Parts: sequence; structure tokens; C-alpha cells
Amino acid sequence: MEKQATVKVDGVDYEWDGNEGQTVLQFLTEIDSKVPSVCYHETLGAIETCDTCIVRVDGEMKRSCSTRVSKGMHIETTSKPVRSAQKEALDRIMANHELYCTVCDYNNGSCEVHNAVAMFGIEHQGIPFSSKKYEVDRSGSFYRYDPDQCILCGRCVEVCQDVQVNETLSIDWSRQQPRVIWDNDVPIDESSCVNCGQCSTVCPCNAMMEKGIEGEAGFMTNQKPSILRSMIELTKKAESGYGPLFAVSDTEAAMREDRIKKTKTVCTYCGVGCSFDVWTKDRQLLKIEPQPGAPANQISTCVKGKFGWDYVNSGERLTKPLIREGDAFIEANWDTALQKIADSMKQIKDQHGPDALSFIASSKGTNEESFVMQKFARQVIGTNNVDNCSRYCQTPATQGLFRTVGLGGDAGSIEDIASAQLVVLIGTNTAEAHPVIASRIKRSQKLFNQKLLVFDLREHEMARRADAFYRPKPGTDIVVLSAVTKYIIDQGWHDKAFIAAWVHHFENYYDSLSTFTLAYAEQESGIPEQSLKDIAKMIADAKTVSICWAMGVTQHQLGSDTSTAISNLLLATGNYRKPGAGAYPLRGHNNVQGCSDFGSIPNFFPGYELVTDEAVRNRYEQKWNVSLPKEIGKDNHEMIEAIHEGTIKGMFIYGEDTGVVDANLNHVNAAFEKLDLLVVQDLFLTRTAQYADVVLPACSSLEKEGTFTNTERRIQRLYQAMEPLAHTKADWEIITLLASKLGFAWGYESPEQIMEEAASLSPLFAGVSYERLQGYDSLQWPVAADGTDTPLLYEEGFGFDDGKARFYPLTYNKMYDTNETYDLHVNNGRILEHFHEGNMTYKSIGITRKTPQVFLEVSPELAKERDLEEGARVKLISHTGEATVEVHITDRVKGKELYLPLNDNDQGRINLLTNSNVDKDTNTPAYKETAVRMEVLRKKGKSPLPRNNHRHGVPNPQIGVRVQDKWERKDYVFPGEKVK
Amino acid sequence: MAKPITMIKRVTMSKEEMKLQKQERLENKLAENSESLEKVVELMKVLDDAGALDILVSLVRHRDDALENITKEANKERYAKVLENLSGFLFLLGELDVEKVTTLTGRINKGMEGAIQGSETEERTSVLDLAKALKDPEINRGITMMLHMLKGLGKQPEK
Repeated sequence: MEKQATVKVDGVDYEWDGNEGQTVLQFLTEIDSKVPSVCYHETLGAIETCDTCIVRVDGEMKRSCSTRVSKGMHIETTSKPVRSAQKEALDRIMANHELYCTVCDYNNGSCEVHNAVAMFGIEHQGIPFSSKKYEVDRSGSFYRYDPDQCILCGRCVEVCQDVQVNETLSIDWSRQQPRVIWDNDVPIDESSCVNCGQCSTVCPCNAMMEKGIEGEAGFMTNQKPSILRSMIELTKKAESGYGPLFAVSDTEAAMREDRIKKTKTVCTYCGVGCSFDVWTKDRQLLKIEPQPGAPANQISTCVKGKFGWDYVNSGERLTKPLIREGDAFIEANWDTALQKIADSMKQIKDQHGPDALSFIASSKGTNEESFVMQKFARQVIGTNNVDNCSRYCQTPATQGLFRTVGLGGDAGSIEDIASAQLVVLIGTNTAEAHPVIASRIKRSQKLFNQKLLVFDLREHEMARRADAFYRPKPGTDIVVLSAVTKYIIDQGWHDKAFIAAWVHHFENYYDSLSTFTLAYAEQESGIPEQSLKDIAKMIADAKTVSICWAMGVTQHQLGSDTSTAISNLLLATGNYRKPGAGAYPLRGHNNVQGCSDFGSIPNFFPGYELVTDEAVRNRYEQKWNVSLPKEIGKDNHEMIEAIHEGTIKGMFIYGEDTGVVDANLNHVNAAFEKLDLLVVQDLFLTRTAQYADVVLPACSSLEKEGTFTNTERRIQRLYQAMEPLAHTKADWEIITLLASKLGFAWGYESPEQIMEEAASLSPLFAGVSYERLQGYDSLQWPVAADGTDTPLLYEEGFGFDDGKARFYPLTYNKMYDTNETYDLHVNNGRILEHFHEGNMTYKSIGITRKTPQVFLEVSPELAKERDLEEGARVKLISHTGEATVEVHITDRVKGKELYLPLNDNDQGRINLLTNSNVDKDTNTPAYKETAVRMEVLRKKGKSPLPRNNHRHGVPNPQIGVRVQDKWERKDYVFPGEKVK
Repeated sequence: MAKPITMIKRVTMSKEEMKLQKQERLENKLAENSESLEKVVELMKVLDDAGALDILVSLVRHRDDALENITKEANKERYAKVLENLSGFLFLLGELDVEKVTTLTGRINKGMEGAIQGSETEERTSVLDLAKALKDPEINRGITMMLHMLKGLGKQPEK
């Protein structure tokens, strides 16, 4: 714009910055001119169903939410015809919605229908309310739909179709009386709804409401339906006119603030790092309320984050320290339990040296807890035997990135994945494992022309949606990636300028690719040459490529090499250092990233500084006043071996069910039995805790403060929503107490002090402080001392001293295949609704009634061959153990591949089958290389997947709410027309 | 040689111990808040003397019945007018000009004082007296005001 333009609003000139995308509604909001806007939502944009935002633009009545501002525009917002049109629109809403605010659970100050009517100053209803004559649908687990309260704004449909992209909800505009329907009009519980809960999050009123808050929010809302009905009638009579009604209901809403606490927290399930407000009444959890300002997820959630919190108040929570005596645990007080641990540790250390002790930190715990765990191991005990569960999943990805680009984290943010021209998913079941990131990709693909390329064994949801989907043989991704990279370079499609400026070792690397011909790749992976060429073209043609990967890549013997191959490909095509591009290992737990970042790994201090680096060690020695061990410690895998060998005698684990999640469980459990001391800190008496000598009751994330770091390297604060359950303590507090029993008085009174210490020691986090992380503020590391963070890595150069990246040459030898004895490949991984071993999610009644148990996915072909039907019971036998599970037949899997979700802590545990093979570079178990044979115990039976599981639903995809269908109805007249 | 176990032997405090612990906690609270508590006891005594505590206890115990009865009753047709009137009066109050009403009521009071004084004399008033009286500025002001008021009353209500 050369000049500032002006726009006239109600006769007054305002400056307009020339932003042509800006809508009239946004402009009016900016200049603080109030126009009602009920269906508009800042995340969803213009939906155009409610008509309340009508204004006159250059003489013509228009919806301000969908009209763009232009130079010299005249806007009227208060003239009589405009006000009448707005009133007409509001009247139509009121005809669809009964106002009984004082006895409504949604009357918490944020009801947008209430607020719009109050702001406009309507006193009396123009069109009387009339019932839609549909029953309330409360069939689902977590939310209910009341058609009589529904104003048909369509926000829920927009969010379901185009934000979550589960495509379940629509409004059937063709009926005499329109309403929201599920799939092709089935009850909520029988639909394809995955209970992400976003419809209830965006609903402007009480039509779509979380069941957890029903009858709980108000002082007078918990009544028998008959009394509630009478009270609604009475409220309406006594409060004639909306003014007095609002006076009473606003007062009541204000009173509610007194007893409903709203606390910002960060989700404790996967690595997406969703943050939101949690509403509590003492210990009772009323609802999760996502906020548009949340950096990773905005308003999005999945079923676990929105509804999966029952475990916090589960009756199975541990509430007393337990000490093993003979064949039972005896309850003890904290002092006795901690003293016993301290004595035992001291004895082991004195007798066998500090390296006879080992420590496993939790990727569910906070950064501060990881920091004190490694500090305890290194300073108090004097060993580097400290590791965390990223060893089970993502260490190979980190390794691949360290080799090539120098920093072990996602190259950019979720925003970059969403804005990439091409997203490539390799070995990630994103829609189930990282649902909110998957939704961003699904949305970009559906609405913004993003291309999606998927490699997986299984045709999961992302594979079904992909523009191109390929099924390489297990463990051969590295061949495909290398061959595609070679072909791109052979064709001259690589980014020569980028390589020249930024990457070392090109020649050497290119030479190393010589064996990866297309023919060889076809032979190894099963993907035809032509397809490989198509893949190469697709990648080379895209201006920005983001590659996401997960356990399907890392949990192989060549996990680190395959991760490296991904990064090589990105370097060759210049897909780093720009928005929309880069490497995105999708971290599995809420704090997998942070637990490693803050030093609970055997070779690194916090911030990935080597324990073997003397200068670094000196820095810590000075601060901690001890001399620190110089040798790299043992990782999880080596710890188990060392227990078997007899060199490790004691183990301390917090927040990790190693006895379920480690590979080759029979071997791991045998190790536990050999320990002189096993201490487990957890919420529950887990499988692992059952082997312990001392069990300490920890508290949940809602009961403590701290920070988590998500997959985007984003550090976010969680606040305490409730007091710890009686006699439980936060992990950081327990470890601090234990340190003082062993003579180290750290003096931490809050996690903030721990973070201050970490920031003062580790340059990667120099500028991290609680003050900079207030509320929804977050920081993506590296964070400079002045607080500048780094959403996009490598803009200033790569993570090596010279700022240059490196190509890393690779070779390939086939490591794994099925054989005659073990003829089936058992793939394994997550499902959406359960998490990990299920210790948390199986406590949710709402989840468990729809997904009560683990199930084995069997292909229709294999079922036919083995004469199996749905619900059959089979025993899987590998060379390490056996598991028994029930069968679900689905074409998501093909041929002789099986899929066993990992969410079981009993006879169906996948790790009864996995073996001790590991990634050759990082010792991450090769969970995904498991061959079994199958014995049929029962040919058919009841399906392990109940009828009301969302996988049986039939979605109804469309774009948005299809407001055109509303406008085409015979009985629809644009309110702007009506008043003319 | 630790086998997995799940049995937990709860160390339960004896009833006596628990009772003692609770008593101790309570005593501390009592001591900390003695002044307020004394007032509360006094209030309770007054309420109890008046029989109010018994009523309250029964009412709270039967709160659901009470609420049901009240809402049911209040929802009956014959109260509709009452409820409407209630809010109607509220609006009426809002429309009154309190300042004018105060002036007017002041004058009415003065008038009443005069009336009471006048009623004590046994004078009779003839037409001539009336005409004469109009010359009295106070009476004249009074009559004029009443005429204006009559005029106001007779005005068509504004649409």
C-alpha cells in the first residue's frame, strides 16, 4: 500500500492498513465497534449461518464475517434497518434456544448466545421458542446433544469436518426441522465419532455439552429432570424480559467462579503437547476447555486429552509408600520408606561401587524431574547409569539427526507440517498416535491442496487418505529412501545451491548410494521401479517437504540408519532451513523430548553436552561440589543385561512400566527378580512395581507444577490444578527428599528453582524461565539468554561448529524376515483411545466401554487361509514367548501381517513376543521385527471390538456445514432482505 | 529373588488413634478461631431458642420436596399474574421520577398539615370566600398545580 486508506464506519473515518484479506467483522472488532456474531469463531472463521453480523456495506446488507474490507468502504452498523436485520437474526436464534440461564450448566460467563443477546439489549423475544421435537441424544460416552438448545450455527460440523477432519457431523438442511446428525443419522454412540470432543468445545451454548459438567457447574443445576423443568418454566415467568433474567443469571455465573477452578495444564499423553484449561471443583474434574491461544493445538484435542482423566481420581491410586516383606507389601510412612531406600543404596554403593546402581527416568514426568533424576545419579550416587524411555522409541531418530544436522529435535513446528506442500509419513500411524498433528495434515490436504505421501505396512487412516500410499516390506524403508535420493540426484533434481552452501561430504555420500539402484530397491522393498520414480518426482516437485516418522522407522535394527536416510534425503532436496520443510520425528510421550533434553541419558548432561567433555563436566562439578563420573553410563538395554551379569544390583524407576513396555519381557522380568533393590515410583501398583522392594506413591500431572517439552521442542508450563492425593508426592519432591537422606540438601521448594539451575548450567536452555513461560506462553529451544527462542531450526546454520550439515553414507544388510517356523510378521503400535500399556486409559469407563480390550488385526486373506472368523482366539508364539489374544478381521492389514496394539498389560502384551534385538547404534529394541506363528484356540466368538466402537462407523465427508443448502431452503429469507 | 506380588497389608490406625488424631486437629482449629466460634455459638443459641434450627433441619432434609412443591405451586396459573405483576412493579418503579415524586409528596404533606389545622376551626366556606381565597398566593399556587396535574392525567398516552 502506498498510502494509508480510510474506511468509513457510521460516518466516522478510520484508518485501514490495507490488509485485503481482512473481513469487515475483523475490522470492526479491531476498532472496537460491537456487532453480534454468534456463529463466527476465531479458529473456524466465517461460517455464515447465523446472520447476526449483518451490516450495510456501501448501501447493501451483507454478512460482515464474510465481506472483505476495501478502500473507501462505507459501513453502517447502527442504522435502524441494520439493527432490525440483526434483531431478526437474533430472534431466529432465540426461537431455537430456550433461555433458562440460571439453571443451565453452560452459564459460566462464556455462553456466546447469552452474551450476544445481552450485548444487543434485546428485551423480548420476537419469535417464540418452539421445541424441535427431537429427543436429547445422550448415548455417547462423553458428550450429549440437546436439539432443543441447538441454534444450528454449524460450528460443531465445521470443526468435525474441517478441523478434526473425522467427518462425522453434518446438519441435515433438507428436513422440515434441521438438526445435527451423526454419520447418516445414527445415535452418537454408534457413529464414527472418535470423541475428540471438539464439537462440545466450540459449541457456543449448551447444545453440545460435555457430560462431566452436567449438573455440576451451577448452584441449582443438579436437579431431577422434573424439578429442573419446573424451574426452567418458573425462571422464564419470574424473569419476564431478558434484562432481569440476565441480571440473575450473571450473578449466579459470577458465584460459580468461586467454586470452579480453571487451571492451565499440558496434556500428559502423546508428544503433540496440547495445552488447555482444566475445570475442577475440588478434586472433581468437570471438563477440559481448550483455548484458541494454545500454541501446539489451539482448540484441538483427542479423546484422551479431552476426556481421559479418570485415572487421576481412580480408587486404585497408591496412597502409601509400600515396603516388600516376604510375599506382601506393608504400608509404611514416608520417612521409613525413604530411609530404607537410602540405606540400601548406600550399602550397594559401598560394596559394589556407584555403577552398581541404575536409574530410569519417566518420559511422562516433567523436565525438572528428569533434571533431578540425573543430578541424583551423577551427584549423589556418582554414576552415569541414567536413561529414560526414549530409548524405547525415539533415540534412533535423534541419532539420525545428530549425524546429519546436529540437533536432536523437530526441524520446525506443527505449523510447518501444516503448511508444507508435501507431507511424507513413514512408519507413523499419525491419526491414532498423534491425532492432533494428523488433523492438521488432514485439514491441509482436504482444504489447502497439500499432498500426502504415506509409507506403512498397514492401511491406516492416513494411508487411506494419502495421495499415494506404499507398503514396503518390513525394515526396508532405508532402501526406498536411499534409492529415491539416488534417483533424484541422478536426474539432477537435487538442490545443488543448497548443498554447495550448506552440506559437507556430498561426493562421498553420492558414491555410497551406488548400490541403491531402483532395481535393487524394488527387489528388497517390493515397491515397483515406476512407483519409486513417481515418489522421487513427487518429492522433487514440491517446494517444501516435511517428513514425519515414528516407531515404524525407529524400532528396527536399522532404526538410526533409516532416520539418517530421511535426513539425507531432506538435505539433498534442500528441505531444511525454511518454513514448511524439515525432519519431524514425532515424539511419543508428552515429555519424551524433554526427559532426554534435561539429561536423563547415559552420555549427555542436560542440553546434549557430553559427559566425556571435561570442560562441561567441570562446569557441573563446580556447581555441584563433587567430582563427577567420566565414563558414559549404561542405557536401559545395557542395564538389563548388566543385572543378568550381576554388575548392577539396584535400580530406581519413576513413572515407567518397564515390565510391560520393554522388549522381551520374560528376560526383563527375570532381571528384576535378580535385583537387590528395586524402587518404583508410580501412581499405580504397575507390573513393574510388583517386583519392587519399595514402592513410592507419586502424584499426577494435575497435582503438581513443572514443564513438559513437546515434539516441537516447545517448553510449556503446567500448573497445579488440585492438591496431591493424600500422602502422595511429586516425583521431584521425592527425589529431593531422598537426596537429603543421602546427605545432599538441595533445598528445592518448587520446580521453578530446579529450572533456574538447569538454565544456568545448560546453554541450550539459557533463557528458559518460569516468568517467560507464564500461562500459554512457550519457548522452543534453543533459547538464548535474552529469551529469544527458535521455532525454526538451522536458519543461522546447522548444529555443528562450522554451521554446515553433513551427508552421512549408509549401507544396508537385510536384518530381519519371517521364516518357515515363524511365518507371520506381527506389527505393533498404538491405537487412538488407549495409551501405552493402558495404566491410565483403562481407568476411563467411557473409553473402556467402547474399547474394552486389545485385539489382533488379521487380514481377510489370512483369516480365510487359517479358517478364522471375527472373535477367534489365538495364541501367538515367538522364539521368546507367547501371547493370547482375540481376533478382529480387517483389511487394514494385508496377507501375513498382523497388527497387535500395544495397549495391554496382561496376556496380550506384545512384549511377551518381542526379542532382545536392538538398533545397532542406539540399543533401541527392534519391536517392529517380530515374527510369530499362530495357533488357533477358538475359531470364532464375540468380537473384541464392540458394535459401538468408532471403527464400525461410516463417516459422511463434506466441506463445512454447507450453508448454501440452508440458504436454498424455501423458508429462508436473508434478514437483510426482509427489512428492506 | 523378588517375585511379583500384589498383596498389600494395610497398616490401619486403631480407632482410638484415628479419633485422637482428629480430636487434636479439631482442638487446634478451635483455639485458632475462638472469637468467631463464640459468636457462632451465640447465634446458634438464639436461633434454637426461636425454634428456627428445627425448622431449618427439617427443611434442608426435605429440600428436594420443598423445591418441588414450591416450583410446582409457583408454576400454577393463578400465580402467573403475581409473578408478572412483581416484575411489572419493578419496571413501574424504574419509570417513576423520584425527584418529582419527592417534591410532590412534600407538598402533599404540607397540604395535609394545613388541612388538619383547618379542620380544627369551625368556619364554613362560601363561594365568595373561595374567590377571595384565590387571592391568597399559597392557595392559588395549590389550585394551579392541581389544575396542571389534571391536565397531565388527561393527556393521551405516548405511543
